[in-house]
Amino acid sequence: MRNARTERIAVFAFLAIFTAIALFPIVWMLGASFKTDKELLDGSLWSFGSAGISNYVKAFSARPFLRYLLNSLLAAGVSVVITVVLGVLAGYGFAKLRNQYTEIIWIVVLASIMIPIESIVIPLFLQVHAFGWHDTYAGIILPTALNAAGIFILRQAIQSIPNELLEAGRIDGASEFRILRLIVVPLLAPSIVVVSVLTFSLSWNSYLWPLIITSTDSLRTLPLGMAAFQMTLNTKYSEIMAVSTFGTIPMAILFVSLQRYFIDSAIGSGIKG
Amino acid sequence: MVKSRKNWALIFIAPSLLYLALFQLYPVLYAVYISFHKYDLMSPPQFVGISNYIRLASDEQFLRSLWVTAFYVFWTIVPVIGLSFILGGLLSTLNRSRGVWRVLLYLPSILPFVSVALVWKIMFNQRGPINDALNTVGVASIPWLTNSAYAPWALIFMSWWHATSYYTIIFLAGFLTLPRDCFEAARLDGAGLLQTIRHITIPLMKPTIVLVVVLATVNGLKAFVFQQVLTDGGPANATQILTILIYKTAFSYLDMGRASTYSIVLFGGIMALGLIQIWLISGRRDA
Repeated sequence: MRNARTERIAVFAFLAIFTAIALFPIVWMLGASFKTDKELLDGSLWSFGSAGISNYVKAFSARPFLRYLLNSLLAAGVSVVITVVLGVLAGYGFAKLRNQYTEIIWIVVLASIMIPIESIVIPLFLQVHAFGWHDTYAGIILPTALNAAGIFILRQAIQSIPNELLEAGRIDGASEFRILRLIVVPLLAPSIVVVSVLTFSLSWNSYLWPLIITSTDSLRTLPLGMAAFQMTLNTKYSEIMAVSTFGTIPMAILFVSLQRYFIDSAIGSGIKG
Repeated sequence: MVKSRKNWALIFIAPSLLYLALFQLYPVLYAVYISFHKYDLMSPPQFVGISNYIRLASDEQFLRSLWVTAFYVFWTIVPVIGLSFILGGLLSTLNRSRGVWRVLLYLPSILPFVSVALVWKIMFNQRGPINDALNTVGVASIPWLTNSAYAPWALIFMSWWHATSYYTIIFLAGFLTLPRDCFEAARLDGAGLLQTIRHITIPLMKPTIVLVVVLATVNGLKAFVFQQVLTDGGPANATQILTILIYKTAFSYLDMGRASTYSIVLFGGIMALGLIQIWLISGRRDA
């Protein structure tokens, strides 16, 4: 009995140490965003800053961070809609209307999940130029909007829906499209949320592609705006911490409201890589 | 009836197929095409056969970058996998408090990558909190990001912090699917903790372990933001991983042919790992 108890205390102590390490940079970022640069570098970790919200005010007057935020929200929103709509359609086709063609096309989806954007940015750049999409929302958002891993997750979810439910609809003479809309989609809600969270996070972190394809400041997404702000001469560290905190807020809100789905999407993205 | 269902399948799948073909498959073929050319965006592409590939063997920048990448990936995944395995395993033994620990440990993963990079960049500052902590234990300040001996390690330490959080969750999910009775039986047979881990936990967790190894390797190969924001590949190319080299070769030196050749190497490496991963996943789902 005493043994089990010491064991538990040891486990808690171990977890507490690593949790503290995990949280430290986040807490430090938050604290630093309210400090002056002098306070930030004077070695006093736990004192409250005297800068108030002045770092936020200065950062927002130096660069259009609200615009960057809206651009990021637009990109993430469009990606989520495209992935969910196309993913549900394709997922249903792959899961419930299988034939020899869909089996071959499925390989295309699997290949697409693996293809790293980092290795195709050059041809994509040339392609998007040829479309006349350079430095436009279409060019920033559309090439990376469809998250192939979303198709995979939705197919798995649709596969677990019993065929009898679909047959009932077919006997009543419903078209495949009606069956999808009225029977399948309502059952898919949790998976749709997981795919949305996963796609939103991917888009929120998207950096290399928007970096390559934008040159106008007002089209920059938040990560690009943050990085560019950091490279501007005379930018204060505390102001950089203010925008880092600002960039975290939308993810934090999403995490607090959809916590369970976040964890599920982390596990689901195991297939994305 | 069956015929019409076949048509429905193609109608449902067509939008995704077209999308992926246009923005994923075609670019791959296009990248291969460019890799056989000399192309600087100004004059039309000039066919050079496989000479871009032959040059790889003597391309010092590329070989250096390969080494930097391998070093980064290796030192990133090895400690992270061990630590996440332990943390995930410990979390799985808890009951009521598991949810709280899981949320707290997961928090680093919800920070945007650029925020993570910026925080660590300032923490690694000459007068930042990391050097402060070293000073208090009597170690002199380290020029983390400006010295080519330390910069690779700075990025590696940072990746430990960032990646452990994510893989802990994956390992925890794996641990939670393990059958409890195996451990019960081992306990009744009087097996010690280490014996149980070695002979029961690790064999049962093998699919998850391999999955995380593949995932962590692929994610390491695809890293870009941290290197770009913290050091931009420097100092003296000490942190110029493959993705940074591709980016600079293409968009700073406008050498699309060589950059595409590097891309194909990266693509090949990741595809090989991806195939292992798919093989594992399909094996697991069917089981």
